[in-house]
Amino acid sequence: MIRFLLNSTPIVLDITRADVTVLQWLREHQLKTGTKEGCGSGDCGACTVVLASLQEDGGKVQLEYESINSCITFVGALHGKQLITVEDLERNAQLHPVQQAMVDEHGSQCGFCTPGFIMSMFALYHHQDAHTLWEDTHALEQKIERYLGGNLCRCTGYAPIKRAAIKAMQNHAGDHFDTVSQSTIEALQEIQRQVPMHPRFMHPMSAAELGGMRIQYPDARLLAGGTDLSLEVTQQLKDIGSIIYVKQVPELLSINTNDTHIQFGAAVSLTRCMQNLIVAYPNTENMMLRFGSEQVRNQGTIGGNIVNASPVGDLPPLLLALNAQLELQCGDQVRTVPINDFYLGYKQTAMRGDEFLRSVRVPLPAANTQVFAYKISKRIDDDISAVLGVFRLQLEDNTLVDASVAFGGMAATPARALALEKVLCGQIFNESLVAKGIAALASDFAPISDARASAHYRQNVAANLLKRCWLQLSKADACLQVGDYVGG
Amino acid sequence: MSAGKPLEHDSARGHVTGLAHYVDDLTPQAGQLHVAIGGAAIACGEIASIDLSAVSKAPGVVDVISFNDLPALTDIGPVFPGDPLLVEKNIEFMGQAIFAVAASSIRAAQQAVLLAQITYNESTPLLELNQAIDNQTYVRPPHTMQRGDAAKAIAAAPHKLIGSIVVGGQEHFYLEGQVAKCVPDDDGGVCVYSSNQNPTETQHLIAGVLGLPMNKVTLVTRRMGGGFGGKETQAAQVAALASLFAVRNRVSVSCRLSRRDDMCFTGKRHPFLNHYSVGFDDEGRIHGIEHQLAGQCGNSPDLSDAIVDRAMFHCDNAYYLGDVKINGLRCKSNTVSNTAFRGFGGPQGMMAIEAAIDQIAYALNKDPLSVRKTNFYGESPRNITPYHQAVTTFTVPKIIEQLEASSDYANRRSAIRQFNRTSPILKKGIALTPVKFGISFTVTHLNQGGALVHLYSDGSVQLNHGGTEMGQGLMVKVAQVTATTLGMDINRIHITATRTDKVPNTSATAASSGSDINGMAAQDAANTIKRRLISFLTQLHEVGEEDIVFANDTVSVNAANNTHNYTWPELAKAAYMARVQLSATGFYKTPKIHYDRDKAAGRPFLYYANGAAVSEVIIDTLTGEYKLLRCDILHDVGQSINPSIDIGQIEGGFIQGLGWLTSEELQWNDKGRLTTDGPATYKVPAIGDAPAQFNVALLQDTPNEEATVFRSKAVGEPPLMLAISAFNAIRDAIGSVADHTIFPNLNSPATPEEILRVCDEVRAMRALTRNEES
Repeated sequence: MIRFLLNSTPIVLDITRADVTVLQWLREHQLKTGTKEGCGSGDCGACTVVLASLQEDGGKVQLEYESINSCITFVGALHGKQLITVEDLERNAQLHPVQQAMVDEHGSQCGFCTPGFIMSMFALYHHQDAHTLWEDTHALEQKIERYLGGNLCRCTGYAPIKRAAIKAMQNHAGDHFDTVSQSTIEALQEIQRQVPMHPRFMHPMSAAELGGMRIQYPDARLLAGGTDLSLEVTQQLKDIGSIIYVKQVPELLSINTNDTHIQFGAAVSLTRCMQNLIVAYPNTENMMLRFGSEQVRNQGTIGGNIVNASPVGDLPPLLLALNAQLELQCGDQVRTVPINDFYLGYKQTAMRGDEFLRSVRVPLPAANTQVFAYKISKRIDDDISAVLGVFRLQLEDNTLVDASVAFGGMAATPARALALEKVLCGQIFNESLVAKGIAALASDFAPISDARASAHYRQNVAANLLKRCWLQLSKADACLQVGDYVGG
Repeated sequence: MSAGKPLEHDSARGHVTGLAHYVDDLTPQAGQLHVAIGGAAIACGEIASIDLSAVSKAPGVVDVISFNDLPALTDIGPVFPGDPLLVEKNIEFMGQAIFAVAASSIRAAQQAVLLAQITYNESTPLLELNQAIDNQTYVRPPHTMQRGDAAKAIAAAPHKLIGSIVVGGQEHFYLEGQVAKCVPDDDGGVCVYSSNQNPTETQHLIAGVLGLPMNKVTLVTRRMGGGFGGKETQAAQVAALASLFAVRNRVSVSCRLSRRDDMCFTGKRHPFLNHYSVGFDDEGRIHGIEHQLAGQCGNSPDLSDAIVDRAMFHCDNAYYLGDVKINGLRCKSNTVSNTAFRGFGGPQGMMAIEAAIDQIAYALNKDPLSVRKTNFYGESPRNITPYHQAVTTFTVPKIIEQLEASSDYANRRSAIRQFNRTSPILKKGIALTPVKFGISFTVTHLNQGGALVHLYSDGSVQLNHGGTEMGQGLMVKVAQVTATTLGMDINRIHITATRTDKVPNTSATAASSGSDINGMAAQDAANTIKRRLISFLTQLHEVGEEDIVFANDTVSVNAANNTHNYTWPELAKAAYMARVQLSATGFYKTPKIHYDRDKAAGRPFLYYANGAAVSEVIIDTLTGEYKLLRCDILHDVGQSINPSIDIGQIEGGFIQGLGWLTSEELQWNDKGRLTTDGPATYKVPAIGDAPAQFNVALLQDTPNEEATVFRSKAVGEPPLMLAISAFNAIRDAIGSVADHTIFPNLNSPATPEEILRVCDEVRAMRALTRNEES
């Protein structure tokens, strides 16, 4: 059985389909209509709900609250979690502090996006640093933009919503979810002692079990975050008969760091992946914060972003440039494939139908190595890249001892710019080398025109990103990205 | 007195708790059906064959209809024909409705649609606005406004220039898509819950489609999850289809479009291609101008005649144009029929003159703001618009004076010039632009409103009027008007859904007119009740009318020796017992307005709404990415009925305009397929796009000179055009790559790609000029 808490009510799921979304279940089965459908594709945040789950931190069990898009989450993924919707926040006729702040600051107009905003603000309200962070208003504003970047509002222009979020956070005094957290933890622990069972939504509990299921059920679809797979259901209107859900597999959720690399389980969320990657590669933070939205980063996984093989996925160019290694598992056999050998063609990879991605090993930076990652898109927040460029440069004095450069959005797969790399390696990095590099780059790619950008723009921007990279190294104090510009 | 107070939106608590119901939230009835629409897979041509048998047999499908199943009216064009409910043969745009399916679930209906077998004889679609202009392919005839001899004035002017600007369209992207639910009555009529800005028009069309008199069709609209003009005519199709299925199957039927269907099937803001030729003097003063404004109307007229007219009415913006000729074209294309969108063409017209003014400033090496000031409407004879209305209620000069100081425009402009000299890649720009927007429907008969107010015997009031709530706060504003008129606490007033059976023959909630006409109508109704109560009390207490005071939630009767204070429950009960009628209708028609379209002259507007904004941007000249850093707005809403609601309209309108002019890009492929058909590809502003510094203020102590409701001014549409300041600031930033010697031909939307294109173009022209010089 699939079991979870709907707020404080234990639920035993009674539906047999695998591909029912949380939104559909709430609205059509529970008639809880506070959660809205704005797009059905995880791009507007109107359907945002919060999942609380158990996290162990130094032996202490805590609740972690994460916002997700309910329109692209299958209901089977709720097992062992607490599902909190907008209807659950009011208590004894008292609005929750985030609700009251939204009323006080006139944060709703048509109101249709409001439940989603409320839930994203509620997740922020339960941020682990909620009690301490808010003294620095600028840091708070950045956090608000990050948490609410995946919620679209068409009426207010966001100004009153920002004011409401600031007010709620700066007057943070906890809420009734904190008060009852111990009983919530106990209820979830009780559920987790039971094995999830569903005829069409399978929950392997180990990599070995997952390996067996992958072979036993060749037609079942692998599901991790589901931010892409669910679109087949909601956008292409396809039915998915059975699903193997990998997000309960401990081996796929672990993160291990040693002297040479970080190893991410394939089902590690993008949020957690980002937290670890930016420690090793601080210059990737800007790009990582522009990856999807908070909801998508909470749901989506590093493995999903790799095996999805989209030409515009944001992680693959970074992993290509860093020469990450992929562990693919079939049954109980594990093989290692360099990510640079993984992408074979448009949406084609070296992963066989009976395999799954188990983990990703990302090398730690070598000496004198700098990595720059640039995402370019029509909108800063929650957009898909027109071009994404990653430059890993190993410099001794001014000489490029080693350089690997990879792009998204420039070819049918995420790809290395090999001609450019050839020009760069072993040379002194200066303006004339940049010019030669740009010429070489023209032979690396023949991008397409689509709704996000023209071929010309892609080519032009890829070249200019090389320029930016050089400027960033040579004029370390210059502000080169609009996102970095602060005041003045 | 509640008018003037920053009261919260009446539904705010419902919004934040999720308890406020939208149409799709209504509890489904047993056996309710759900509709999906099957649209054409080509943009132009004819249906060759159609086989819907697999659709009918699909799981859950109960009923399927196509053209031959329509019982009566088949064309739901709101003003002119051209919008078939379902296509008979000729396909005019991709996605045009051919058939509709009713099934037991929305998913079953949507999946069934995919099973249709339709073949076409395909023709080459007309997709480019330029091509329609060249071929003179129009949905309505061109129209001209003129005053004086523009060609002669331009020829005689010391300087002249020509220019053009592409102005992109815009998807409404209301968060709640088109939706209606129809419950059949037992007498053959229907009750339709519809997310709709124009319930009366949809009532009229449904009656036509069903072959019923209007009195058997009731439309109910409690609230919309956003409208912005997109539910003025575009809400009719889903409502009509739901009604048709409901009557055929005698069951409740819901029709809700998926986001993609909504974006592909329903109209958007008109893209425009504007050309101008202008003559001016050394000060930048315009002597004469010729505008050609070509709107891309899509496949049918819909509201395009009035929309292109409004573009023409606003290509003067705040400026006296001297001798002027404006030609407005209504171009056809094989794309979905474009429709109303906040500003209704006005913004597109305004973009032309605001580009022209900047171009004049470049030609004369002047601050564009000085050229703007030089050309503002002023004293007679420089106060006459191209349509011969004298400009009154014009507060722009006052606004600019205050805003220039409060925003520190001059100092910031020089600081920006300094920044640009030392910043090689990132460049800043600043611009201050005004807005003058005409208030009234330009189709005169629409300027009427109705209300119905009930005072119940317990002292509670129920308020109903013809305006619809789409988030703009109309309901609370009209309640504030009503409460103030009765001297009553607003909490006694219950706001109800807009219903065509309560107030008939209403106009769309559009043209920013909602509070103006419905507020006045509600005030009229409240005054009627008040008069009856006064009459009752004067007789009862043998006092004069002047002895009765409605204030502070009490009605006081000042008799010779004592004052009798009635609570509302006491008074209502007493009046009821004395057989006083406690229900009243109210009505308002806008005075003074008239317009002779044949002569293109008259007074189409009762007054003008005004405002101005200063925007500061930073752009990346390597990638075209940009950020709006700061925006200062001063806007004139007259005497505000609700300052918080009004500021909300200004902030929201500005950001919506910012999206229109920057990140929101509609694209079609060469087959006529909309390729930006969802929020993954069509990017409305997100929270990070709002400026870090966003200072919005209302112009103080400036009541409307016209006798509007509590001397307020309309606020729905005008602020959208304040975003032109951000677009012009981007143009200013681009200009800095050639030290403002070359006018950047920036088109809208100014996406990163467009910004980089123009940066490169300006850099290339600069290099060319330098080569020629050396």
